[in-house]
Parts: sequence; C-alpha cells; structure tokens
Amino acid sequence: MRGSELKYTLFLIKRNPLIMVGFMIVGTMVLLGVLAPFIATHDPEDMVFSDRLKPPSWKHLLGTDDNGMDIFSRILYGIRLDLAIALAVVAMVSLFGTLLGVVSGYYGGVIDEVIMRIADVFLSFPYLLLAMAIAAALGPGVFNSIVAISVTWWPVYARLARGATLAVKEMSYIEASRALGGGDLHIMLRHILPNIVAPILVQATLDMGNVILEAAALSFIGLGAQPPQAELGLMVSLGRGYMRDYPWVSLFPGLTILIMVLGFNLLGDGLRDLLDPKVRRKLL
Amino acid sequence: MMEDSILRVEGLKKYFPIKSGVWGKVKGYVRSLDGVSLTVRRGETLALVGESGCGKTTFGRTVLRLLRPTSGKIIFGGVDITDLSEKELKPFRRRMQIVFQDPLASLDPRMTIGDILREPFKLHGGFSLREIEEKILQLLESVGMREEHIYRYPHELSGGQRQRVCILRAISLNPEFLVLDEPTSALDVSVQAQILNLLKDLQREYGLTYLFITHDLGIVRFMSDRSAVMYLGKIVELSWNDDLFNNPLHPYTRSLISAIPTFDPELKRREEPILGEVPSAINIPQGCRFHPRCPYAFGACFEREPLLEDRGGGHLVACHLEKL
Repeated sequence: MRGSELKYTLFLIKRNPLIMVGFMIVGTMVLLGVLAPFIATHDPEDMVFSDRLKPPSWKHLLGTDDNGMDIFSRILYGIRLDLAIALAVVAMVSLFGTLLGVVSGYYGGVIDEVIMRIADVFLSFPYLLLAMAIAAALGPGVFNSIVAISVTWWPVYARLARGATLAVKEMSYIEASRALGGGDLHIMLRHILPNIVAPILVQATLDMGNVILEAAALSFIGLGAQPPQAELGLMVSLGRGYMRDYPWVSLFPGLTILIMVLGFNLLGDGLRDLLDPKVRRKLL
Repeated sequence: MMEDSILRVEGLKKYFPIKSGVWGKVKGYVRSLDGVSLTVRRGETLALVGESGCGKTTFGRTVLRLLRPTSGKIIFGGVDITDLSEKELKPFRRRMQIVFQDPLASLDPRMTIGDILREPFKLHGGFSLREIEEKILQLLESVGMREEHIYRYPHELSGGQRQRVCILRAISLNPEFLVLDEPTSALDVSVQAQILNLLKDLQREYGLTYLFITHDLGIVRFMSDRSAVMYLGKIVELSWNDDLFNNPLHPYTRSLISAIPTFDPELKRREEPILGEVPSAINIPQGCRFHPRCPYAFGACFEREPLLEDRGGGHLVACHLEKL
C-alpha cells in the first residue's frame, strides 16, 4: 500500500537523525535567505564609516566589516544570493546533463560516443580550474560565474543519467512499451526518466553544497560577485586582511558556508539512503 | 497449399555481431536464428520448444520486429513487415502483442496498474478518457481483479496478478496474434495452471492466435495444436502434437520427449540421453548442426545440412535418417 510506504518513510526519517539535522539546516537556510529583507537589521550595502570594524554588539549582531557594513545583514543576503546561484546552476546542469545522458544511453552507438567524449573533455580538467578559466574569460560577475560553473558541471549528470539509463533500458517493460507502439521519445520521457530520477535527485542535493563552495571560491579569488555585493565567499576574502585583530569579519561568513554545505551534504546522504531500496531495508 | 496463415516467416536470420577492441571490430557473429521458416495459422496455438539459448526468444521478438532481422521475410496478415519503419509498423503493433517471462520486470515500477493499462489506449488514441477508464475496469474484472487494483503498484501485487496485468495490457487493443514468451515459467505451479487456463479462455473468446514459446514440454501438450522444435537457431521438427509426441522423427525431439517427467513410476521408457553440451551459437557445427550430439549420425550428417521437408500430413523434419 502507498500509505504504509509513506509511513515507513517517515519512520525511517525519524530513525535517521542526520537527515533530520540536514533537513533542518537546509530549511533554516532557505527560510533565512527568503526572508532576508525582513530579518536584516541594516541595508547590506550601506557603508557607515564611523562604524568600521565594530565587534558584535546589540546594534550590529555580528559586528561590522572594514567598510562599516553590518555583517549579520550581509550574511542573510549572502545566503540568499548563494542559494540562488546554487539553485540556478543545479537546476540547469541537472536538466541539461540528464537529458544528454538519457539520449546517450538510450541510443548508444555514435551518438553515445560523441556525447561522452565531449563530457570526458570537460571532466579531464579539475572543476575549479576550468571554471576559473571560463569565469576569467567571461569577466567577473555573478551571472558569469553561474555560466562558468554550469559549463563545467553538466558531465557529472550526463554520466550518471547514462549509466542509469543503460540499466533501465534492458528491462522488459521498455520492450513491452515498444511492442505497444511507444516511440523513442515516449519511452525516454515516460519510462526511463521516472526510473532514474532517484540517483539524480540525490546528486542534485549533494551538488547544492558543492556549487555553493565553488561559487564562494570563485568570489573569493575575485572572479564571482564583486564588492560591495553581499556574497559569502567574497566576504571571507575581504575580511582576510583583518583576521588577526578583527576575526568576526571573515569568521561568520565562513561558518555560514560551512553550515550550509554541511546541511546539504547530510540531506543528500540521507536521501540516498531513503531512496535506495537495499539500504532502506538495512536501516530498519 | 496456402492455408489461412496469419504469420508467415521465410528464412529468417538474426545474427548478433560480436565486437571487440576500441574500434568495435566485428570478430564474429552469434547466429541466434539461422534460417527459420514457418507458418502460424489463424486461430491456432503453435508452440516453439527448445533448450535455453536455442533462439526461441529471439524468434518471438524478431517476428514482432522488436529486433531487426538480419535477413529473411516476415509476412504478417499478408503484408511484408520485414523492412517497415517504426512509424509504418505502428498500426501493426496493435494487432500483434507479446507477454514476457518475468511479469515484474515487464511492468514499469513507477506506474500504477491503471497507468500501465491506460498506456496502450493513449498510445493509439481514439478513445475518450471515460471510455479508457471503463475499458480498464472491464479488463480487470474479466480476470477477477478489482477496481482498487488500479491504484496499486506492480510490487504490491502477487506474481499471478502481475502476469494477468501483462496479459490484459497485451490484449487490450484486441490483437489477433500474441507471442507468449514463457509466460508461466516465473510463476508457482498452482498459478501456472490458472494463467494457462486464462490464456485458453481468452483465445476461445477473442479468436486469438498464439505463438507459445516454452521449454516445458508438459505445458506444450496442454496448450498447443502444433509444435515446432528448435535447435541452435533452426527448426528441426514441426508437426501436430499427437504426431510429434507419439511418432517423433528427429533424434533430438525423441530425446526431449523421453525426458518429460511422468507421474507413473511403473512406466518404463526408453531413455534417450543426448550426448554432450549444446554447441555455442558462434561456432555452429558443419553439416547437420545436431550431429556432434546425435547417436545416429552417419556420413551425410557430417557434410550436408538436412533440409526441413514434409514426411506426410504436415509433419516436417530436418534429418538425413529415413526412419528413426
């Protein structure tokens, strides 16, 4: 029964505290990001030079940076921006990569070879290096860093989807659908895609954290968001000159990145366990 | 000479290339079907019997054009469908269907039974949503299942129910011809009988023609009118069941029949063991393909491939022996 399956899933979630922690962290972060304009105590780009490098206080909850901008408010907007970047990248690459992977695995032969060799070219560079090169070529900025990360990231999904498609396409229900007169597009969309969605969902969740890290890294080296934009990587970077005397300038944005990435990783790992029928039974 | 045939197959071959190396160089072929000719008459059940790996499943898939034949001709309902494109085949798809061996693997695990049964109607169009719902309910009820099953997923059904759903999906568009690819070998014995009876009832009700693929000779006798025995991609004997079981003319057929288990411990039968193993379909023996295992092999068997010829009354045999 579907109902009991749902109950069992809820039971598993309760039994697995890490997925709960991950879920709560991600939930909180999303909430903070969405509600940033309402929670923030200051304008994130408002520079008050009389309040430079102030330690945490009731006026500035997490202190101020070297330009006198309120760090608490900037972190909220930073979460919002980084989540938006991660969502844009992951949505784009998982859709595009998955479609290519399904086509590649389904048709095989020359189409498969061409798509996979192109994917190999991208995978043969270290992610960050290639993303840096592309971002540098396009010029710094949030939009360009989204493009740069996406271009380097799709092969992960293409490979994953191809592998899953190869397994699914040998099942009798694919042949049954063909015997009924189902065309290639019908089979790919109605039978293959729904059956490979679980591993892709897991990968997408884990990648939310990875993309946040990479976006922060690009900003850190100056190829992503530009000051005075509120972006977590950029904030860490800008505060690093003051680390010794005014640690809060870099520390709090850095901690936020850490918690956010940790949250997505815990959630992704938990989802993997929930969606994998073999692990599912073991958790009992 | 021409009886009312629904399917005529002439010299059908299906070779699977064996590729190796980076460039996928073809270094040989698996000759799954090596020139099969037969005719299925309208309304009959023709059983196709053979060991695993003899090509019987490949034959079922190739005549439905789920596999592209290497050469030969498939004539369905008087039309040559050998080289039709997928688009041209679509109207034929609803006239010929298949039921697979493993019912769980042939039902999409992400679809409910309702979705699965709606699929054929949606693919071929021309039905209103209400008509479809009425039809699938009718179908389910006709095999003793209920409305609640529409909302179930395949893993929530029993093996027999799953196979019934597969059969319903296959007959939903009123096909004329059904390939049954070992439809009961994944099921419990008690359920097997139910499914076989269901298939017989459906055949009577809708005038279906069956190509029944199996390795179980016990079932063959119950199900079919005529039977064809396949060995390494070729038909070695084909006849009416009475004729085939009482008077087998090919040594291979005789061995198979002598191996059917019986319930009578007193009954003494001549044991006819087959020598050795089935050769690989990559290296098919010269001459008669059965000669390395045949206790009666003589000169001609090593040199010439025997042709499938009529020994009277529609009893076809491919053997050099005049009399067995």
